[in-house]
Amino acid sequence: MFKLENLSKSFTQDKATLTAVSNVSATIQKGEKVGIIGLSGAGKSTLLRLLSMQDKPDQGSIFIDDVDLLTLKGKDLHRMRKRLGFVFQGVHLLLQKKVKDNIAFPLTLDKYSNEDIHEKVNHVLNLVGLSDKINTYPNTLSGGQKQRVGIARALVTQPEVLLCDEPTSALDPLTTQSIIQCLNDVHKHTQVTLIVITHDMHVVEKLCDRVIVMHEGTFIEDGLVSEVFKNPSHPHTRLILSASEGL
Amino acid sequence: MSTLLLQATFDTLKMISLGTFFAFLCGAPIGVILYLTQEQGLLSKSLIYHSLSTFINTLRSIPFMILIIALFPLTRLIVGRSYGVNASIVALVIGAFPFVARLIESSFNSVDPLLIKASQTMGATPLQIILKVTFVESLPSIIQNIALTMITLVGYSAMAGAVGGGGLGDVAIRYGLHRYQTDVMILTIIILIAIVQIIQWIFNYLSHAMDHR
Repeated sequence: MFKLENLSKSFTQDKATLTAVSNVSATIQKGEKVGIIGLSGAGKSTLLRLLSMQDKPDQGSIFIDDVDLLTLKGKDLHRMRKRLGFVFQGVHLLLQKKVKDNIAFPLTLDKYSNEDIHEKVNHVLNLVGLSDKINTYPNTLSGGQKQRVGIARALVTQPEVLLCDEPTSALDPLTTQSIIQCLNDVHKHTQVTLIVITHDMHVVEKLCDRVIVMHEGTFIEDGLVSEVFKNPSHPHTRLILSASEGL
Repeated sequence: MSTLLLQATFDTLKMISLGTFFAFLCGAPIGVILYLTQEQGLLSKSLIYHSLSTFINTLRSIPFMILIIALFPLTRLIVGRSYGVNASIVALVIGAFPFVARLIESSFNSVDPLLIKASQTMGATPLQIILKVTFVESLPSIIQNIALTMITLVGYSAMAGAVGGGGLGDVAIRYGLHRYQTDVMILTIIILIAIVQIIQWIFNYLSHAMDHR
């Protein structure tokens, strides 16, 4: 179980205070597929920085099971951090390292035996369907293949939660579809909790069961994708939906 | 004359290679510290960064010719005398390591900052980032910078030759200039051109062979 409780974060610049994330709470059960959707400036990036512990919230807690991540330090924090996997918008691979070494990267930060690493890397490469690319360098891969490598790297530590930050917004529609397919397959095989932060409602529609709509730093809507998209209760949700329909 | 030139070529190569080696040994760690402590760095420490940076700028602003002479007492202390190849190496190292520190800093800074952020998010410590990300990713650029340092030292070593430092510069001045032996002068220049070309070829090849971008 992954739980956000009353998370808030504001920034002060030139004496003006901007509240980027304001008192948001959500409980996400193991194995759920949740989309957090919002337009630019809704607070998605700040929320992600809080969830990835790059930034400390002004108040609130992030729980994995019953452990508050924000109270942990050093080794304990490191251990809990490994229960979160990250898929980045720009993928960010080591260009001078082969695919297998890129995927092994999170493991090499801890003590794993070479056989263990080899086995885990093969397993996740299989999951994302790139077994034949194990010995190639990233620059020979297409954008979609790179993102699959990114997904495999996020999965290699066997996290309980996979946090995806705009995983498809740098990709064309066809590749986007294949990445959504890939994430769905991964979810089917691992039952990993998926949290996808995006501005693209099509991604949420195809990938998620539950959607949280973010607007001006708060969660304005939280429910099943089928219900929220059919019957949005908040005017801003209707705005996002109609804007996307128009595309 | 050929033994003279052969010996001088050997001395120059020794100065360049050992000079570069020790300049990296001293300069690279400073470059790493500059990279880590800079504003927005992994271990941002403004005071350390600015003190080191000023120290390096100071050394870099002293003309090399003046630096060699100013270093005579130090070289005498380290190698026992202030002239000859070994004395020149000391001066070359002191002249080149601040340059190397800046090169390492800039090679490291050329690595995509978002990749560094991503590595941090995945739980890498600053030391792990330096070893497994920054260094690995900037290796082709570092290789290029080794060539740049060696070629700079070709020029520096010739200057050291002017004050009794040995090597091809020494021969060019003593025979080519003072004794009006134009042929010697031309030969030393040809050998120096060849050395620079070969260094550039080798390191370009290594850098490209290693670069998988």
